[in-house]
Amino acid sequence: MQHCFCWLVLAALLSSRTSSAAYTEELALHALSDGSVLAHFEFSTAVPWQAAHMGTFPAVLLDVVRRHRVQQLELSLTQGRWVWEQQREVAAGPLHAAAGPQPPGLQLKVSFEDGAAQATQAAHGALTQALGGLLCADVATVPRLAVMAAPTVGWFAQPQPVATAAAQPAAGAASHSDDSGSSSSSGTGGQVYAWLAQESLCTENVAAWRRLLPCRHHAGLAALLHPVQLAAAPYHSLGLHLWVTPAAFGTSSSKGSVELRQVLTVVLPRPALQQQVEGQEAGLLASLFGSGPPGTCLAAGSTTVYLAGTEGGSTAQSAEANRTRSQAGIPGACKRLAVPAGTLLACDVAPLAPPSSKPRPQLPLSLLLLNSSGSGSGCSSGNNSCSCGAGSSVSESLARQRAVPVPPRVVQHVVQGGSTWGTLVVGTCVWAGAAPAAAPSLLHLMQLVPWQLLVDSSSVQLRLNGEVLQQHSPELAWQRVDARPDRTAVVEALLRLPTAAPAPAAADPDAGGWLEVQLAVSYRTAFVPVSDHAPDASRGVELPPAIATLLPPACANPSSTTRGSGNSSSRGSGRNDGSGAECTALAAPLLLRLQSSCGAWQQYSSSGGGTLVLLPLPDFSMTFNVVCFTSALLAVLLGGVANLLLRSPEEFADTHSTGGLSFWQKKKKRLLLFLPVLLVTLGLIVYLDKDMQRWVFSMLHVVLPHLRQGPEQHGEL
Amino acid sequence: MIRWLALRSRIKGLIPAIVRNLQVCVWALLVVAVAAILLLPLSANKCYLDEKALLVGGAQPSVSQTGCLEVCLTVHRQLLAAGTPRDFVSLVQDAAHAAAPFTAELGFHQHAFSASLGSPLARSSSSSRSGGSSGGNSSSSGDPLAAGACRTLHTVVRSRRGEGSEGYLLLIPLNSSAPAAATLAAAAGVALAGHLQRSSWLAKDAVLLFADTASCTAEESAEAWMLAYSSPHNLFGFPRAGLLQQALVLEVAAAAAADGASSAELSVHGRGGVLPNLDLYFLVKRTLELHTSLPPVSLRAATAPPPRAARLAAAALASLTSSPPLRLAPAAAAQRYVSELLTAAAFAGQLAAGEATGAHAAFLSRQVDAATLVLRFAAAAEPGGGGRQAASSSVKAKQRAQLAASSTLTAAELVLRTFNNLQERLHHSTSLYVLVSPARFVGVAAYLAPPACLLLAGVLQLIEARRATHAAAPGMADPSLRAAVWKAAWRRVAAAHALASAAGTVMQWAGVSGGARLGGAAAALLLQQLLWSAAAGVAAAVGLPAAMAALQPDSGGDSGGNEQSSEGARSSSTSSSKGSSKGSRQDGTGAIPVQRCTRVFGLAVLLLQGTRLLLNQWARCLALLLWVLPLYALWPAGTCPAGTRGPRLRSGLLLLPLLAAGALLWRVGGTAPWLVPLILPHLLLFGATLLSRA
Repeated sequence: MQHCFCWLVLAALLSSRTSSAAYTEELALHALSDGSVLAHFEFSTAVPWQAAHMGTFPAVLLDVVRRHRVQQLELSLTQGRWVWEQQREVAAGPLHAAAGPQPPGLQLKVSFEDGAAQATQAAHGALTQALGGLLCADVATVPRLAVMAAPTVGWFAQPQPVATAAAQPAAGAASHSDDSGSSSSSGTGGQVYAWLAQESLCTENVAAWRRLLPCRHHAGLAALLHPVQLAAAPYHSLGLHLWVTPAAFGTSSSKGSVELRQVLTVVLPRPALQQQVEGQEAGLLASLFGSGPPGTCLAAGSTTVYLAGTEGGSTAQSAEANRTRSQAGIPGACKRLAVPAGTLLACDVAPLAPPSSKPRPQLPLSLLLLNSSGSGSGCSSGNNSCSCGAGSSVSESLARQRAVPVPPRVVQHVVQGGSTWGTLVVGTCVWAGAAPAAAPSLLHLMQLVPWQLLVDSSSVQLRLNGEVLQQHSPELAWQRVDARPDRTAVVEALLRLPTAAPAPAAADPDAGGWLEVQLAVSYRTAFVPVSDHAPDASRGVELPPAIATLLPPACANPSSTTRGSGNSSSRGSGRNDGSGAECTALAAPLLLRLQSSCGAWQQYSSSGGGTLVLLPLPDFSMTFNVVCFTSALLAVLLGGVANLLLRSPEEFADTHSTGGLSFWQKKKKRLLLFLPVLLVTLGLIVYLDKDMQRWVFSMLHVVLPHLRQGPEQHGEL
Repeated sequence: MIRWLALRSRIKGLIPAIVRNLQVCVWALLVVAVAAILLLPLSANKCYLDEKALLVGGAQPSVSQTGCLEVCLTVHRQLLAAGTPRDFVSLVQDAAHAAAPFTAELGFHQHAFSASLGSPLARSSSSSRSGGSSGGNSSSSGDPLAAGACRTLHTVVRSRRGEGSEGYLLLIPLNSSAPAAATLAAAAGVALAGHLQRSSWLAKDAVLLFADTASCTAEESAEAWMLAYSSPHNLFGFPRAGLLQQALVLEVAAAAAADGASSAELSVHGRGGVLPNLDLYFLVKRTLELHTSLPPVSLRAATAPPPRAARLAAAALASLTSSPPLRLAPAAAAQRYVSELLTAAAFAGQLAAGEATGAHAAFLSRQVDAATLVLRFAAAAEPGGGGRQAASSSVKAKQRAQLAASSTLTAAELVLRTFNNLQERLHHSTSLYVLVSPARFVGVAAYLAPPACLLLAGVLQLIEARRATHAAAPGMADPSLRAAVWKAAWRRVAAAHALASAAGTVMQWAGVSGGARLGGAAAALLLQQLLWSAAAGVAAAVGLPAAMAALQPDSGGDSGGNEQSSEGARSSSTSSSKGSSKGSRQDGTGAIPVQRCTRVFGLAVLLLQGTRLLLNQWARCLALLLWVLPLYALWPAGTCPAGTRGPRLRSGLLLLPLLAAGALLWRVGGTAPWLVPLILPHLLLFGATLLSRA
């Protein structure tokens, strides 16, 4: 009986595996020139919106999405820095669209179905609580501590590309640009962007993230992830990408399905790899992750590893790779696929046969190394010759790179004029050679400024190659500044980049292909009460990284993707390579993205990291003294006033007179005299203390439910 | 309860006794203040680390394990063997070439600027990149620099796991005219950069800055580099490391001692009396003591040695306190006390002068905690000088080079590592201290006692002077006479402040602009301040009611010139009020007089502007008030009628230490023009008081 039950379970699992083709596992590997390896994991699944059975989709997550009417969600938890030079190197290869850098800390992008501000605020608060429990992360503190705002466009790359969303407001463009700096956040459509720098990525987050997978860490590609190895990596980032797709025509519901993508990107350090290189017998996955090929996840429709392939098989390196592949004894495990940026190898590491029937395939480590040597960009990490505006000679490697896409480079710099004011400068360097000459590219810049810094909206200045862009400049399509006190300020701008980059006569002729866009805005520090300072107040205020989204004209197609976010639509159509090699994983989202990329980028400044801004240093040891002094002063004042009122000479004389008021009448008179003083004092206290205002309003709200909402927290929408 | 009542009655009885003998109390307080100043070294505490996150001593030096020390010695040998004199850029490039396998992909950025003579600020700066090529080489591809131009070369070592939002800096000045020291410093700097590249503990970006000190001083170079670093230009070409939190200036020089003994010296003074956090000073000192074989770190308390008279007086004091008649302390203790007193005086004098003692001042003025560490080795001596003997013995020369390289690299590595451990700025300890020796300091609570005594003495003297005045001049009991005296006093104070404010404004703008042409906004602000000063001066000269009445065209001339008595003041105000009421009647009923509105509006603008000026400097005003309040307290004695010379003479004696303090502050005002409006009025008032008494 028990034997039969096991066979039934196995048959059910196999049938579920074959039927639930929506769940796929993918891993992209790219060897960098400094010896480190970029590994990007993607686990994708989907479920119909009205499905009763979740399948491989995390049930609790679907429940949260349904309950709070989430339209789209992107969450990332990141530790470390993936430098721009490494990203540029990956961009030169066929895996360029696999992943992009994320800012350190916690980043949360949500779009709700209900666009009303109050509903968005409430739904966002509830959603962060749920996500915090799901990921064992401090997401619940986002509404209180994060830099949070509701920008208009520019940070959800898919399924609404930035251009389509931005082009419409851009039509009314300059007239809508806000001169007063006090524009409301209307028209945000229930979108919320939040960034919490203090939240670091820890082992428990990885464990909770893996629990959302159908096979958890027991089988599949997720079994390769070792928390210790991840913690030692110079960069690793995990994320949840979720969106609701519209239903097909003719169905009753407006929502089709919910798609979820769990991603993890890690840059494995160089020493670990080199130690494994010495043992040539070891397989690729064992060398990189320290363990053998993982057991097959039966719930997965496909488990694929992508490697950058050599060009056309004509070079000696390609021949060497083919020879190595044949020597490894895995004929047929890897297929060569053509993508717009080159050729890649797609290796299915989990064949459909049951695991026990034959040994699992082994990928040799030399496959990665040989391919990396053939597809490397030749731009070393220490070579900054691609930097914009340096006015230096450009190496030959850069000349070769002109044929390949170059990600924009964004830097952020704070010019502190004093302890209370300064200027924030965001520079973006765009390689103009990547844009076709027929139509201009669109560049969207967004900078959030925490509420501790008061942005002067009239000081926003945009420069293109050193020239100031006026309100009605043809290059400036649209500009928005939302600078309200006690709120995160948002500075957004949409630019149409010229098709041909003007090359300065004095500069190096090779440097003329770069366009430099500079956004400058002045700020002054707000008065930050002691209770609103972070525990590490002497560190300063973390300024979120600037986000630049570059959209070439080729991305006007809605099915196009934005590479930097690592997010894409699965609606694009797959494409076979010209050699006729069969693609066995056409339904794999990562592969679709690699095949249909249009060259769009979403880039964070300084490769993801923000900037620190010093505030006037508070001396918390003075709090006690201030309380003492203030109390003493109030005691003297109140005592004097009370004495003046209660012990006036007339009254004093009246007490000695025989025919005065009674004792209680005199007490009542004194109390009536003292009451205004008390009320004035209390009013002054409530007026000066914001925490007291919140407390009073919350108490009044209990008594009077119809009372309007009281003072909000800092940083709310 | 009974005991409390008895104590209370006793205290009540004590107060009249004090009031009766105020003059005695004043002198006693003066004596206590002077004694407290002299006894400051006795209240000094040992330096300690208040910020535990620094983890000083928690890590062992690893420069030997990673091969950094060997690379440094190899580079040093190769540079010395080449022998040919090099300029600044080629020296650093050759050092990077020699250390190429170790310092992979090290790119230096060259920043050139020119500094005007005698000015700490770089007047113009231009930047060119000497792009680092692969393999650790650096080459200059920029335009040839003009002769005499100053240059810096810097590189940023990026942390692998850091976020890049903050960093720290190591500045190494190189003087090509002293090639031995420059060679050693360049080799150590390049090797240290390679060591940082390999360090797994690097959590923040590290900036390694070489400054050419042949044409400019290290402070000028640091100032010009910080200007370029904080400017919004060249965002992509100028490597940056986010917010700089700490900096260390590491100077390598030849041994000063005749025997070639190594030594280490720390200096902390910034411009305008700014000091780094005490933790920064002590962590450098403690790191050197724990991990190097150098002798105890000495302190550079002042740029100039103490005058000979002070040293003689100190020696006399030491012998007096330890000699048989007094025998207050053993000879060693007396000698130590006197030495600490001299050091404290030199340290405080340097603070008051507002002059810097090293290149770290450029960082301190931008809120970056910094200090200068000077390491002196025999290996850094020129072959023709003290190093001749070392050159004769190659074994000894190697040992000395080993000692110098090891000490320099160890000190730099561990200090930078402690910087790396900090998540916040240094804030646990204080920046208000006076070092009486390299290992002991006097805190702010201790050195504020003498000024507090002086302040209390001034207040008591005020009470005594007023009491004596009332006793000597019965006419002062008349309220009208008293009001007239106080009005006259107010006008003098206002006039002095107006004059000083105008002078200070001009000095401040002259200092800031450096004689250059002012911009529109700056000129407008200057004009605004001058107008406010002039308005206050006019109000002080003719009296506020008369000045307000002068705003009215029809009654402007009938209220001036009668301000010498209370009756005059009253008549002035009366006439102005009459004039205004008359004017309002002339305007017709129901109409608001335009003149009155103008007057009120003008007065409000004056008050608001004055308040703004004061509030901008409120912290400094508060600090200086401790010094100048006694002067105010004494000043009304000068307004007394004839016959009250007794208290005024005593007041004049009391002025002496306070005037000395004022002179000291005046010296500070030479470097900080904002002090002038605060100091000058009081000196003017005292001068007037003393002259009127004569």
